[in-house]
Amino acid sequence: MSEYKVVGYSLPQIDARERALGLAEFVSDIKLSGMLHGRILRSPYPHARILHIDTSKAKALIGVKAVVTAEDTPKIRFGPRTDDWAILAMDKVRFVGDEVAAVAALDEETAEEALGLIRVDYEELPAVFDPLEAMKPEAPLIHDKERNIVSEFKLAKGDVDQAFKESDIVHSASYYTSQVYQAYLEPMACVTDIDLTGKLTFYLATQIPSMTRLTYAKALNLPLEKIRVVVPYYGGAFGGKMETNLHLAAAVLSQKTGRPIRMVNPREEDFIAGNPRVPMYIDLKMGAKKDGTLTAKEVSVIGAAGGRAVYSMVIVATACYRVDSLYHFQNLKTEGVTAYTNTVPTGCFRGFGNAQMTFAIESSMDMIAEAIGMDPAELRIKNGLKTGEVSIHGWKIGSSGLTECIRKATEASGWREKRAQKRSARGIGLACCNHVSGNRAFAREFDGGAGIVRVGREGKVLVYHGESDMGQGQRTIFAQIVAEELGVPVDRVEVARVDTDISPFGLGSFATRGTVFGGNGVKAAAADARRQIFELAAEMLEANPVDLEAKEGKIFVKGAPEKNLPFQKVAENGLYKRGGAPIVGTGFWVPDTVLPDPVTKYGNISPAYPFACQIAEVEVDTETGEVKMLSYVAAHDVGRAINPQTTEGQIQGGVAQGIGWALMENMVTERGRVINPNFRDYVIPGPLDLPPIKPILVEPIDPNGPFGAKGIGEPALNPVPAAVANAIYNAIGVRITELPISPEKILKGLKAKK
Amino acid sequence: MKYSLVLTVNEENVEFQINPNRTLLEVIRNDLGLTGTKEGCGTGECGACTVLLDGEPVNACLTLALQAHGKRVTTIEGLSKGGTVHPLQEAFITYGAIQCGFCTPGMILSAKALLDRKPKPKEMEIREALIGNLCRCTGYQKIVEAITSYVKDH
Amino acid sequence: MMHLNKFEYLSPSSLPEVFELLERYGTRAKLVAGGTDLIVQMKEKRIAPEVMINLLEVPELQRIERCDAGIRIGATVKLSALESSSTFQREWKILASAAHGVGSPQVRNRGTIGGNLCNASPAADMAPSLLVMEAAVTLAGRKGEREIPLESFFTGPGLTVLRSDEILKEITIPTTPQHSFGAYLKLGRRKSMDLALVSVAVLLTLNRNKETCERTRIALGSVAPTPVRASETEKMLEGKRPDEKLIQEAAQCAEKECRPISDIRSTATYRKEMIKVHVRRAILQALAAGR
Repeated sequence: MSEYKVVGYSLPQIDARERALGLAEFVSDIKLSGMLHGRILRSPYPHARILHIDTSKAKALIGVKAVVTAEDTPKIRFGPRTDDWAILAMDKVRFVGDEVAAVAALDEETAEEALGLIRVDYEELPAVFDPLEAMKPEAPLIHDKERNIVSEFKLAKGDVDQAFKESDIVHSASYYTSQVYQAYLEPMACVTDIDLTGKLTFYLATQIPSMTRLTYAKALNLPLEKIRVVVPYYGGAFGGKMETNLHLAAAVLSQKTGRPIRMVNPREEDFIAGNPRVPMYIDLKMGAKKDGTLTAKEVSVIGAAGGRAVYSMVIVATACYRVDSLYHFQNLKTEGVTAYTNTVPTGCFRGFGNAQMTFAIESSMDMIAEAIGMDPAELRIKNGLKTGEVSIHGWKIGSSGLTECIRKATEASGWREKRAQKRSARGIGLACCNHVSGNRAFAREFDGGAGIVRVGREGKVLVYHGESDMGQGQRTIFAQIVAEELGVPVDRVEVARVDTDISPFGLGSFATRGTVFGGNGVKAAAADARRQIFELAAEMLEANPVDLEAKEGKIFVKGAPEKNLPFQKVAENGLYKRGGAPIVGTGFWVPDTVLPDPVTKYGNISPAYPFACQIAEVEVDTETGEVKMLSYVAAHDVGRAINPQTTEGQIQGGVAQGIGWALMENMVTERGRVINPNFRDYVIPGPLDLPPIKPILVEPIDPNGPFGAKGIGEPALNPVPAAVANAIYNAIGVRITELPISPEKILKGLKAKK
Repeated sequence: MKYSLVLTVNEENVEFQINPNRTLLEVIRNDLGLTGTKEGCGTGECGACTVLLDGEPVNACLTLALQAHGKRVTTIEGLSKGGTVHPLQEAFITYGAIQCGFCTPGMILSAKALLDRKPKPKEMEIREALIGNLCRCTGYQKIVEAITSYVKDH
Repeated sequence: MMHLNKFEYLSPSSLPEVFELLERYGTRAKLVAGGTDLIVQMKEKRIAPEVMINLLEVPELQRIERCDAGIRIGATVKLSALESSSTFQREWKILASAAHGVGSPQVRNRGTIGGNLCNASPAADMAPSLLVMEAAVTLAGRKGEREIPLESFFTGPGLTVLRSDEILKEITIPTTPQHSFGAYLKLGRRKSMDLALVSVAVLLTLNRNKETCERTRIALGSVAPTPVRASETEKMLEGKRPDEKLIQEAAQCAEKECRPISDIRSTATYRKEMIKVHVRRAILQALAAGR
């Protein structure tokens, strides 16, 4: 039972109806008058110089309205964080799938046919596919740099060598986390439109509507005000829908034809030219005392960026040091390298480097627990950061529910009893994680959230925010927060779709920031609207604004409840009094987070830190190597669950995605080409592959989050591969350190044991 | 050369002259403008394009439109004709079975077809009926719970 | 969206019409039934037929009829019909199991038994169970019909003995001998919809006392250029008492008999090992059904 009226309740999503009825207009459903269909011609080679492109035959095909190459673009190098992108390849192609040309035609079939008529003469170049190889000085160079290094990360604190000497146990292991695909159900899609002034409107599936404008303005050499981004319904993202050349190629076609362009990736192209997870080689050495106190951590991370840098270097950096604020550490030595490779550019995927590193550290923690004869759960509790503590990098843990998560998860899963039994080929494993709710370091310009709340004459509330609902239920959370602030039922609140012409500049949905930043932003705006409402109501009720409260759709005088007015009446009266002006509340929220010091990385980068503990139970078929998931418990510190049902859904989805990564998903490549670019051979979990997933919500009530809430999106996935690997180890004594944990690897491990 | 295609879609008769290389999915989305049926993969793996053909779930992306000639097609829009939401859709809404919603139309139609055949399925039978419908957001759990609740309440 | 090439579409309503069209168009035409394999191949640009001949309007191909020998299944009978048929579940159980394991409900509501066989994947889901039941296929054309054992039908990955003027008309399955017990196992990369990494069908006909294997039929899928009978393994078991030791030896023999390749889905080594495991398990499952 929540102490609030709307916040804390499992209300159905405010837009579930449209989605259930098939009436929600997704990006790939949009149809504009005069719309043409676009397709992209992609490189068949991993690394090649472009000698000549002949588009004449394609242009001559009936129904084709434009064929564009780099010559039709400003030929500016740009990128979300670097300058190594080109809308369409200028001199070289750097991965199979790289964008070379684009076509707009009256229908998709003609556009597809036109692609086959474009002739490109390539000169193949030596290519390199593995980051370890690409880092070497003699590797073929992919960009105009001396080495194929996008960036390096170095961090050291204390004295690891001394600390290892003083440790009772030192554990070293090498891990590999695979490149996996987000597999959102709606492929990347956009519709671009252009007006007579040259202003482009992008209807995008994008997590970052406002930041995208910055990147695209540079790429198209347009003033920012000539770029408008609108975010319709879209079918999932999980990190994969940030900036992409698909949108820019469509924009160029709109510029060329003066018409709207629809561009949707066929699924195969989405596989080969999407933004899969950064694969990483992780070498991890940890020291501990025999009482379980962690003493030191030395880690090296090498990640593949692919043919150009999306966010991979930020992801590698995150892998390098986010877990440092999960446990107490005094001595650290960390090195990270992000290297270009002639493979599909890697990008954000739920967990953002922390997921990769969590697999490594939580596997190692388990081995350390075994070596010192300590319960893995107790080892985590002992070292985990608690409420009020400050981590080695200055992260202020305003609330930590980690211990409670561990206690609740172990209780709910029967941990103690199951660990004590000897159950043939059955095992139970535990893993924890930390994460952020927003990251000051992601965008240099600012961090914060803002909102606009409009109350019309009918008392209907319209909320404007600048973030992005990719299906995780963000709009519903915002509606609940605003409804709570204004004291109205949630069905009186609508959340407008993001339109950068009107909406506040939202940094977007990443780093699990939506609930805290977007939520606090709209909360502040609602509070401003409420202030204005109270001023109006005070006059009408002949009371003092400070004596008023809003609930159940009415404005009451505290202590004299018979003196009240319906919310709608106050709004209507206000509008009539003020020349027809609706009540518009604006607000923003800026936490006192800081950019980390460039050398020491010291600085509190997030206003709230979620934690989690997950426990997996498995049964291994020792003859086939198949792993059956028997049960799964996921206890998550979410601060406060604004909507428990939505939060549970996120947890279950994240666990499912993590199980896929742990056991069955693998992008198989041959000379840089993805050879399983379809759901037939890139298998993700189906309904028969998942156990019952029991979510447990732990609510320590964070001081900074809206109504005490923190985020859930990424923590839902972070611990999964380690929990599964630890369960498998508990079941059959085989430790797998490379993802995916395939049946073949399990059989190999069992054989080696004999 | 165009061929005559006659279909009953959501209980309405429709007629087209189409090229034979059109799939049922294309006709539904482009010619009829019914965009509730989605394309997720185009190769029959994800089930986002699921429609009921003479009451049975099929992948519209793999069905030649002409092979559906003379048949009854039900799309997600057909479940709530006249504006009344089907109780199965209500169950999905109430029990949190919808996140991004892209898999939802196909998922609901597959579930409906199961329930028309077998009104009281067990959980395993529900899961088996949905193996042709991929979902990446929910982990399937609340979808199964929504269907189970619907079965209990009806 | 991947588009299908332009083609001419014909929808005959009788077998003689089908034969006439095949004679006229020969290799320019492809026969389409459920399309669940064919349309995918066309979208992936592996084939681009000029003419498509729809078989779904030919009533002769849709019939299931008992006959003296056993039962005849028309080539365009849907997999969903076989899966749910109480007749097959009772009398040819492993066939119903095999049909149940194909793809998804959506695929089974379109896919046909004839299409599955003519697509001739080494992993063809219906083949192993039909092989152990010693099914025969009737190939028909204008010149007449010929019946051949299914074992002789497949010639290589995607290849059959069908001539360009013939269609697969029906599959005849003999009545299952008394005291026969079968099992069908399919291993995938996940439990939900998947292609077979390996598959095994077993049909054991025990003697009256149910002590010895009077007749043994074992078929393997995905481990050779075509679905195959494990004839050496069958010989090992025939006339013998299947104890744990013999079953183990039979499994090892099956491992040696198969010739899998490594591909995107699995390795030859793993497939061989899995044949050994699944032949053993299938035999045990069949014997358990007999008790």
